Amino acid sequence: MKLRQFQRNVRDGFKNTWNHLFMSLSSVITLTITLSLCAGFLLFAANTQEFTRGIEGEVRIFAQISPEAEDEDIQQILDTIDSIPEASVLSFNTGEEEYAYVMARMAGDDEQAREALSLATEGLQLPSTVIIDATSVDYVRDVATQVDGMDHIMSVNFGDEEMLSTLTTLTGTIRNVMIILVAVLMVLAVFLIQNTIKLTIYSRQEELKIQKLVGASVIHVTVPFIVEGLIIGVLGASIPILLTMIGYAAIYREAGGFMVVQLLSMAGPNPLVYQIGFGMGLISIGVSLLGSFFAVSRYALKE
Amino acid sequence: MIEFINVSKRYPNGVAGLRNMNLRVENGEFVFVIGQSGEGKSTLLKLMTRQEIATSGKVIIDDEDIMKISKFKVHLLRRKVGVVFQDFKLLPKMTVFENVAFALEAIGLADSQVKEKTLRVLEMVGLSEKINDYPNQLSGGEQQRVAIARAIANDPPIIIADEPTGNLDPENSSQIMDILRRLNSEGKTIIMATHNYDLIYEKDCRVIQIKQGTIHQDEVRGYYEA
Repeated sequence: MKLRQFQRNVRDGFKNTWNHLFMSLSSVITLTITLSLCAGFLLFAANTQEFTRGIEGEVRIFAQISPEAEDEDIQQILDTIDSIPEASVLSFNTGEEEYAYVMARMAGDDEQAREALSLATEGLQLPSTVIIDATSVDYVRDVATQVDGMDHIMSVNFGDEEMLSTLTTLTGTIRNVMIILVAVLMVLAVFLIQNTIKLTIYSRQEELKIQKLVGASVIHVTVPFIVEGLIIGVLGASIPILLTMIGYAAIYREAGGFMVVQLLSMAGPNPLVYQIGFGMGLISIGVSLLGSFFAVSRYALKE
Repeated sequence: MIEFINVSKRYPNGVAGLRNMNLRVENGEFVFVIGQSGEGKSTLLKLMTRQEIATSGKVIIDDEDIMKISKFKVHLLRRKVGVVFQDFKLLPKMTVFENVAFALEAIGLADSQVKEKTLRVLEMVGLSEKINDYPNQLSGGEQQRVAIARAIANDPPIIIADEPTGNLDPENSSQIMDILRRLNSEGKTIIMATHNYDLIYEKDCRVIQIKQGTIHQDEVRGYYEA
């Protein structure tokens, strides 16, 4: 195809969009609404996943090792824990490190407080601590019992695993429901958009027929419709993308990065909003292009 | 030259459009096609522009059986055959100029040539003053003249007119006939279907009467006696 013809096709695509403003707008609005809903659900799902990850991150087991344990004993404890498939050693802090950590947390940079605390805790020896990560909340109790049974273990502590387990199941379910909703909505969007474009082209069958009767080739009548689809796709995606990028970043900023309680940390806007925005743009353009291509090719090839 | 060889057309609903039609039209002829509604006039014309495909037989234009042209090449045939319809079939969202220019842009002419040719044909049909009007701002006669301008813009050797005066008053009809006669005198083949027997007063014009999908009469005469 000559460049000149292509430029004319593009020009006609823009003209058609403008000339059939009502139809173009209804396609754009259909896209905007469905994609905005999709973006909303996707953001919700991403956040639920983040909550789940946050909660699962809290599932830690703290085991204190008695001061009598020798280095080899400690090494053996660490190796044994690592050999449990559902557990791994997250970190090991010696008594001194624990002490430094407590001091730093309580006194901060305040020299006077530090001195006062040192005096008050003179002679205090904290036990070494192993922090263990369980692969899932469901294994916490098992792992804790196993660790508790090991030699030289003074005490084992872990959070309220039942509450955590319920929360994890709940957020997991919410996330799955959201993903299903998004999938259903996407299918719905494809049908809606395809139908709108089909309707647009159906109402312009006569126009297509006349154009072909005066000598326009199949390509010459098809390309402007494809361009029109592209324009509608870009316009339809722009509001959902802007809403996602600007709106979500604003919500994240306003909320301070978490929902209600610190435990429910929100998914950071970067790169999430770009990923969702990119996806929305791709889907919008893809759906409108395909929709217009299938719809126009049906009529463009009629005798 | 246009030739129909044993052409039959049966529509999907079982109605026979044409039955074993044989016809030959030489270059430069002015042929009137007459007949009652539903006898097959429009089918005959639609076959010449490949708006319909024959059930059997051959339709030959310029030594090519146009029934065998691929869907992707039909436009090349339509650039050789200009069409004028009873209901004008102008594109309502385009101005007079754009309607005519569309046919020229479609064949890939440069903008300067499109402009020059469009203005020339619009002048020929007497519409130079109306190039920026939209079809709904024109009278029926003017709309039909735009349609003729569009049909002849790229200089096709054949013009097919399906009841071009059907919606027009006698004065406008006579103007359209003048234009068609002029085109014929320039060497173009004109095939025109009509109900209006008053128009057939040309000396030595050929009149084909279609009845029940076949040629009932095919005569060259001074005028048609109904």
